Amino acid sequence: MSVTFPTRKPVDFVIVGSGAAGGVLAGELSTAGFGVVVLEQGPYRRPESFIHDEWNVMFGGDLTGHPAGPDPQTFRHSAGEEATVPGGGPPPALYARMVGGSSVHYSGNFWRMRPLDFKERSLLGEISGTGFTDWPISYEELEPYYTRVDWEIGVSGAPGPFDPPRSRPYPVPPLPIKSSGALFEKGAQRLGLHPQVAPKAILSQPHNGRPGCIHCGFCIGFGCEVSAKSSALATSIPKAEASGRCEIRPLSTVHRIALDAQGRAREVVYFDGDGNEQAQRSRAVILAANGAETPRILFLSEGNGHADGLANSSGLVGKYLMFNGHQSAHATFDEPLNEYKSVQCTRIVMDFYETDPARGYYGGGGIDARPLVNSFPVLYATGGLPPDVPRWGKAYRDYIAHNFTRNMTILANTTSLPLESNNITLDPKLKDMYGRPAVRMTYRDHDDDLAIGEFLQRKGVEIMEAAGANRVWADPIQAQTLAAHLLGTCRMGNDPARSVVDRYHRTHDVANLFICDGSSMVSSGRGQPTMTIQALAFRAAEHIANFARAGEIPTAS
Amino acid sequence: MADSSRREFLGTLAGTAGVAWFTSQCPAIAQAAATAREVDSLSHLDADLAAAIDAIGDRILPSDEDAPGARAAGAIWFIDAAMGGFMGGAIGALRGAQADADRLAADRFATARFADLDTSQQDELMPTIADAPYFGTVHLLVVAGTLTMPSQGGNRDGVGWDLIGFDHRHGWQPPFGYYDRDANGDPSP
Repeated sequence: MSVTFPTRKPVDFVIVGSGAAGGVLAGELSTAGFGVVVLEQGPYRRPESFIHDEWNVMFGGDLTGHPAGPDPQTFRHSAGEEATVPGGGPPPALYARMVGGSSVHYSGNFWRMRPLDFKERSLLGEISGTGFTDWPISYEELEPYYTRVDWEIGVSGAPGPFDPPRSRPYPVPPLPIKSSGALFEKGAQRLGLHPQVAPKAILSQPHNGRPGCIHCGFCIGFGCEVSAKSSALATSIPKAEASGRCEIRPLSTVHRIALDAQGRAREVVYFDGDGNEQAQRSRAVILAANGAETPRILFLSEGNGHADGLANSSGLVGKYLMFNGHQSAHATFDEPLNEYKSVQCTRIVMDFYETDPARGYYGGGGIDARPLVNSFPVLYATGGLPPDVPRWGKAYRDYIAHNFTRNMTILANTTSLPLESNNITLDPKLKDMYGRPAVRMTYRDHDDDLAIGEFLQRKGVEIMEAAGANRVWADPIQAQTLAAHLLGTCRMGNDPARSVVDRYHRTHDVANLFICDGSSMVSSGRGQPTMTIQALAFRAAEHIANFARAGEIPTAS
Repeated sequence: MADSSRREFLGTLAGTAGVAWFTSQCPAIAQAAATAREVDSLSHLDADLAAAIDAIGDRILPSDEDAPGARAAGAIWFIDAAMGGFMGGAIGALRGAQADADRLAADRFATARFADLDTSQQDELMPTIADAPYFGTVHLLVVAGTLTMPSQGGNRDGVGWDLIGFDHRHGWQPPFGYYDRDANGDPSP
């Protein structure tokens, strides 16, 4: 049921962003009886428009944009460097610009965080030079919302030996194991490890009126044309629209949040699809634009007593950016695996989740078996080969002909430490098509992050060797230059001097401005944050709705 | 299948009953995807540039009696079309490759065009070409012209996909490969 709200009459909530968090917030608040406008910068693509077009999606940035496109971004490793627009490949802050956001193009690895993730500072002590600290909430407090994600968003899986407590089983069974999963399982077991089913936000069988996966293989980077992938586009956005109280407004690029004289958010100013400036009045605003765009909007909204960006009295808006580490290694086997079929991961190893002080550095993570991008023909033939294979001639042709179906990859998914020096700021020179300063990303992995990545990469190599690979090679360990996980840039905390939002996602500085997305995270988890972001969104929506009903959200005059 | 009717039938998949029907239609869908775009003339490359890039492409992924390569896939038609898209800025790299390859042909074999050398002569020059800054761009376009969707001009009749064993269907059932046969209980992947 479609609804259209006038811009000049205050709506209950404007939500900026329609992705993993914004979608959940829209679904929950609208079905709770509130009027909601969702401003989404990207288009409203429908599932039936998604096709298996490797060239335009993976190389053309069809869903994510180009670093040098109409909304360019710059990157540098440290503040002393000049930030530049990358010469090719994806943008440094890699996310899908569309209704449903990055939940449309993700591969759906849905790991819960564990109790230790929320209190690791207390468990391990201070880590000098970092912003390593505890969350203001516990796993136990978030668990009911993880369970809602399982059931309402839709997660396939089965319990593993190290899993945190869960109040309800998975709603649907695991997806069928792939050859990479079977090999990974065999190799890990030979090493005495404990491989387990990879939980996926992709349905193995019908659930909530959606079909099970057809195993087409085009998950990572692509939209799912049958809606088996549990994206916001397939789950919470339809729920929100069905309420009759939520308007999804695509092609709406937010410029700033305007305040009234009392410092309360009054309206959200944006450019519509024709480039005309519009402003949507609202009683309260929720930013869910992701860990790069949310701080950007806050910086663009300075003024009215917020000289360094809105809600930035702590000075921490944009800081403590965390990527998660992702290190990979590859192998070939004698027989075909056909990794281009079905979902990315079916088995994971979580034996190295916890920090082991004996290793001499902070960090932990999980290893998964997957094709990564080597399931796609062009990406494989241009980037998936061992370094000594020639790049032209009969030997090259025959190598890819033989090994495309025999290739597998392991990915080590690991922690990132929060550093003030890793951050999102506004580029001082570069602007987008609307004249908004571009996102400038500054990032260098902490030495401990690289160390744990190398450690788990080595474990992955050992697993593939134990599984009988005829050849194994590892990618070089190097500092990352782009991220699909954009975490920590408006961190949650009880102390207004050391955090941007409180434990209910309300900004410390503006009583009717809330933030809920990857930016809320205090620590990085072990490499797959979306499930936690969605659990946070379910929890935030419940509290925000209660505040609104109780008259505890002051509104602008 | 026309685009509008494709949308309509995909729209039916919102219901769970659509999946089995969808899977049963896979051969027809794969056929639709494998239909090459019909082209009869170059749009963005002149004849000499196309000849040079086609010749380099033929040395990157040779076509011979054993297997098809870039030329058999019609990669040059994809590259020509790609110059009208987001890779349009790569035309400079292609021209650089042409100029370099033709200069090498003239210097080494007193032949004006790289494309007119025999393949063994071309292969002698390839190490120099493969070290040049433009090679990454040329390589990507040649590979993409061999391995992307046929509807984009290359990969004629899916010969590139056949080469590497990529079976382009819209859905699969387990087992997917050799190593999951036991777990998924079917002897024929």
